[in-house]
Order: sequence, then structure tokens, then C-alpha cells
Amino acid sequence: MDYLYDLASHEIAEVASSGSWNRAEIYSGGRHVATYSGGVSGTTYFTHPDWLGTERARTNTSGSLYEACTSLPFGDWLTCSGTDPSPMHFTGKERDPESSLDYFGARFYASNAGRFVTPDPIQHPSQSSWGMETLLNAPQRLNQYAYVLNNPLSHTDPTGDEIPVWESCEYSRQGCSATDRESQRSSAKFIIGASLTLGTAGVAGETGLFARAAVYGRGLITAAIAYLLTPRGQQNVVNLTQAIGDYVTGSVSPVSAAEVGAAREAAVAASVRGKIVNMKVFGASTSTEVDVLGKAGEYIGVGGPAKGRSLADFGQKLSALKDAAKQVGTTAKYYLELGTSQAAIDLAKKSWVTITW
Amino acid sequence: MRHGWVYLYESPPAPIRFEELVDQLRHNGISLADPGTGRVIRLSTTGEQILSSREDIIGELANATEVSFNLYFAPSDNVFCSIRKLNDETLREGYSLDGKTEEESQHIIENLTRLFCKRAENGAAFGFVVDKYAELHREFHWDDFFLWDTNSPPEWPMLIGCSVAFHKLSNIPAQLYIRETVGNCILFRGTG
Repeated sequence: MDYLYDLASHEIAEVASSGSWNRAEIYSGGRHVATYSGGVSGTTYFTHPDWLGTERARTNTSGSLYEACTSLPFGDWLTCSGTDPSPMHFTGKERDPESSLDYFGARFYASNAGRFVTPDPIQHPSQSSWGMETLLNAPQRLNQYAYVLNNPLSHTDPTGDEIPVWESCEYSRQGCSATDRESQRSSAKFIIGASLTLGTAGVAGETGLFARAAVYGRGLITAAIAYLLTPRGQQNVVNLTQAIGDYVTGSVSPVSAAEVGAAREAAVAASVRGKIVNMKVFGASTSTEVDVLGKAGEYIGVGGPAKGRSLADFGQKLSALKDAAKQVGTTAKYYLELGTSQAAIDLAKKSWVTITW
Repeated sequence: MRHGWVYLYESPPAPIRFEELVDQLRHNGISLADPGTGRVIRLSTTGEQILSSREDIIGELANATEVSFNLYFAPSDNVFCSIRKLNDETLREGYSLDGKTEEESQHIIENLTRLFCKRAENGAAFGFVVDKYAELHREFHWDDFFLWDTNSPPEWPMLIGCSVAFHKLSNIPAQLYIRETVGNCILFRGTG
């Protein structure tokens, strides 16, 4: 048996060893909406999930109830009436019929224990750039087998690696404010542009970078509101959302320049799991600023379209960032927002090609 | 001051303006040469550092459309500066405040404000702006306001100045600012 997955890691087809397919899964906006089951002579079953995406009922093409499912909060005691046309159940994840484990992408989940069967593949928070502050706000994170901090009625874990960052407010002493809630709803309304790694080999394709940014940034904290101002930018958000089946979008409102800068840096910080530092550093006869410190200590600059207005200034800053990074034995990167001039991007690429560490 | 730029709009000749600014700033601890190495740095159009001198920069200014160089207030701690000919009657001096602390930025801003008012008094400058977010405006540049048809920016800056004869003086929303008049120089300082 083989399985086919789309770019967003959704299982879209189960194919028999003979090459004929047994089942196809249909998605829209990242949500599982239907199953085409029974091979070429099969039929379509429409999914009716609860607020978490757990599939509670399926109807056939005539609109009649075909299957109904119940389960407990952690997905255990799953019981379905009728013949099950699809293994997609708890929060829309595939339940393996042999092991009864749910496949979350990064790891398997055992609903009868309410725990993942392997540790969180994301680095432990006490060792990460999020640091002890996050850990103290949400000590449940110490348990690397726990599922969504033991709050399965409010949260899901779309990829099996970590719950969104913003959820930490729910575990802080202050709790979540109305602003936090609004930010949670409006999170993921952002995108970051091409990433250029300075002085190291390989620039990944933009599509891959965008997708990664969105996956990691979907749970962005309060500062990361939408900052895309142009129709082109908005279109890119829509494409991105469709491409990876990730959350959201909605309308994007113009914001002030200060908010643009803050959101841009917050988006990059979230995408690389780093933190905003705004740290002055020195290169040869010049200084510049590190905007974001990466998870492994990388020096990261963040910029937008205005970088193309003074290439002399930008070029010198690129060199200073690389020099400063070299001094401390780390790498330098620059994230440029969509819409940055090709000349600025080319300049960064040129530096990337010609500078040897 | 992150993302910030200072722009000064003035009349040629560029070599004279350059010498004025270097002399003015030198008395206030901002020098053309890196105090750590003594080197004067001019920049290529793509930011490569070129070992230079005061005379070399003056020579470049006489011929090139834009010349960029560094000014220093500590070893290796620079302010990027460029002087660009916008047309036969107008030059624009641009200073990047990116990565400077608030204290450093204020020091530079106050020196440049004095320089602007001195020039405005002589009829050699007509526009001055300190914009904390200049690098974040996607579609707008202050050239549009000071030289072309744009009557207002997307956001008004923390400090804007003009000569009394500047034809868009009345466009500046006085209610947002504290107004100072120094001879022919009018400064609008933000109240926020």
C-alpha cells in the first residue's frame, strides 16, 4: 500500500500495490471536507467535523447520514457506526488501523494514553532561544510527550511538533487578554520574503521558504499583525495558504510604518524561532544592527522594499553583518520582504556568492 | 534610531556643502575619518568600502551624481551619508540612522538641524526631515514632497523643517507640532 501526500503533508490518496487507488481525500482551505472511497466505482462521503476538526459524521451524496463517530477528549474510545470509509478521525488525522495510533506528521499519537509516543522533535524550550521565560509561563512544556499542553478541547497540533507560540498566554499568570484573543485570530496574516543566507551555500526556492515561514509562524504573537499593504502581497498570502493548507487569512488592513517594522521582525523571529534583539554590531569600519537572533545564534537582518533606495548603504550593512557574524563564529542572514527591489536582492546574492568566510 | 533617515534638501555646489558639513560636525565629535584607524571611507554604488580622503570625496562630488561616505562618532561606529544631485538646482544629503541608539541619533539630529538652519539662513537649503520610519514607507520618498507633486506623506515625521519661502509650508499640519522659527528656518518638532 502506498500513500500520496500533497505539499501540505495531507494524505490525499491511498494506492494499492497494483497501482489502483483505494481512496482519495479532498481538502479545501486546509480542512478535510470529503472522502472518495471504494476505488473507481466508489462514491463520495462528506465530512462533518467538530470545532477541532475531529470527524463526527459523514453523509453520502444524497445527504443521508452514513456514519456517526464519538470519542473522548483525547481522541480515545473512538466508536463509529457503519462501515468506516476513511481513517481520518481525531482532529482530522489518520488513525492507523493496526496500531490505533494517530499520524500527526512529526510523530505518532496514542489516544488511549493521551500522549505522543515519541518526544517533541522541536528542541526543548529550556535550550531554545525562547528560553526559560516560555518554560515558566507554560511548565507543561517540560513534558515532551504531552498533547497540546493537556488541553485537547481548545487546541490542536496540526504537525505534531509544537502548539502555537501564542498559546503561552493561556498558561501565564495573567492569562489571555481580549487583545491576545484578537491576535490569535488574526495571526498568520503575514508572510516573509526571500531568505538569503550570506556566506553559506544554497538558497532554497522561495516557495519552500514561504511555506516554512508560514508553518512556523502561524501562531504568531501579538506584534505580528498583517503588514502586507499591496494587492500583490495579499495575493501571496492567499497562495501561500492554499499551498500549504495552513490557516487563515481574511482582509489585510493598512497599518502604520511602525507596525510594519515590528510585524516584519516578529514574523521573521517566529519563523526562525528566534527573538528580536536590535543589537548593534561592528564590521570593518562600520556598524549595523542585528534585528533578530536566530535559534542557533545566527545574526539576522530584516528589510523591505526601501532597502533598494540606497544600495550603497545596504551593501555596507550586508558586509558589516557578515563581518560581525564571523567574529562570533555564526552565520549571517538577511530576510527581505516581498516587493524588495531586484537590485537589492541581487546585491545580497552577489555578496552571498563572492564572500568567502 | 531604527529605520530612520535624515534628509536635507539644498542647493549646489556639492563640494562646498560637503566641506561645510564636515567642518560643522567635526566640532561636535563627528568626524570624516574613523577615529580608530584614521581611515576615510567612501562607498561604491553597491556598498564596497573604498579607501579615500577628503580631497578624493570632493573630487568625486564635482563629477558624480551621488557620492556616499561614512562619518564617525566612535571607532568603527559610523553614520552613512550620501550627497545626491537631484537636478541642476537641488542636492539631497541623506543620513542613515539605522542601528544608532536614541542618544546617538539625537546627537546627530541636533547637529544636522543646526546645519540646516544655518544654510536656510543663507538661502542654501529649503527642506529638512527626520523620519524614524523612512525605510518602511514602501511607496513614498521625501523627494516626492520636497521636490515633486506629493502634498503630504503617508505619515508625518518627528521633525520637519523648511525655509520660510518653501511653497508647501502651509501643508505641514501645525497642530501636530511645536513650531520654532529661527530666522529663515522653520522647524516643526513632533509633540508625540
